[in-house]
Amino acid sequence: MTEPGVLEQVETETRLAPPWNVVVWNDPITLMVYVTMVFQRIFGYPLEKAQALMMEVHTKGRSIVWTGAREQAETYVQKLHAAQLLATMECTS
Amino acid sequence: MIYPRVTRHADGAVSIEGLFPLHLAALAEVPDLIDKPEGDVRKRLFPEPSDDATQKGDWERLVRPELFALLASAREILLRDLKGVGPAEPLGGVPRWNVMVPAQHVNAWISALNAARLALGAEHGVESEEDLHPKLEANEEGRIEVDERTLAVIKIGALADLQALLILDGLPESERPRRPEEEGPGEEEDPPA
Repeated sequence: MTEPGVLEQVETETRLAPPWNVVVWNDPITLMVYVTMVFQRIFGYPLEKAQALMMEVHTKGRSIVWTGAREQAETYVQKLHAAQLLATMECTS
Repeated sequence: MIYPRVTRHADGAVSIEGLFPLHLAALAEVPDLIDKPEGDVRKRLFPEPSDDATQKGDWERLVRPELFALLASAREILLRDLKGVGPAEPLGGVPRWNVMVPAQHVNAWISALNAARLALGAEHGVESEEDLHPKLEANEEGRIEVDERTLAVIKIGALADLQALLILDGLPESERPRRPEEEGPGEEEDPPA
């Protein structure tokens, strides 16, 4: 029984949903300028960042181009697929 | 090689001038290449979003129809604009053609050309950059034999010329993926990403 005037202390744990990565994979056919253009348009990245991510795709085979909430990641993957880029999403946890 | 010329006009419309027979032949195939894709072409043009089975199912049901519709729309736009192809002045006896792309159609063209290049690659098993540079050697009779796969690679290259020109010269300045000082003749051909 709780004494009058004393609030019961309840421990709660809040778990944030883990972020998701949007990954773009290399393919031998898609043009570099096209990939750069798509990154600029979809994510609003400045030219330098878009080119750097494109080069990472080109040289390393894949690049994490965005990280954040699942729903937004799905939207970005959908837009990347509309541009015919090989894009997937993966949970970071 | 002398490329066709792409010019963006004040109203945003884009003219493609001086298409050579190879470019026009490759362009003419684009609508068929991206029409109702199946098999490997479908897999490439409409990839999976992840390995998760539930998400794959949701994607197929909720997202793919919209992606199909987008590609079909780009195809229709290209098909319509290609009806406006007209003759240009021949160069050295080689026939050439011009075509106008309305401002609101430029993105559809870029997308359709990209999809057609990917479709050709998927259909002919182009999986590496080496595959894009086939070794053509003359046989004992001095003949160079061009098989179906090599012909597909040549078309991928021809469509790449047009796609790159539309991106670099056909888009508004603010949307072009390079700085103004990088523009101009003599730039190296854009390699694949």
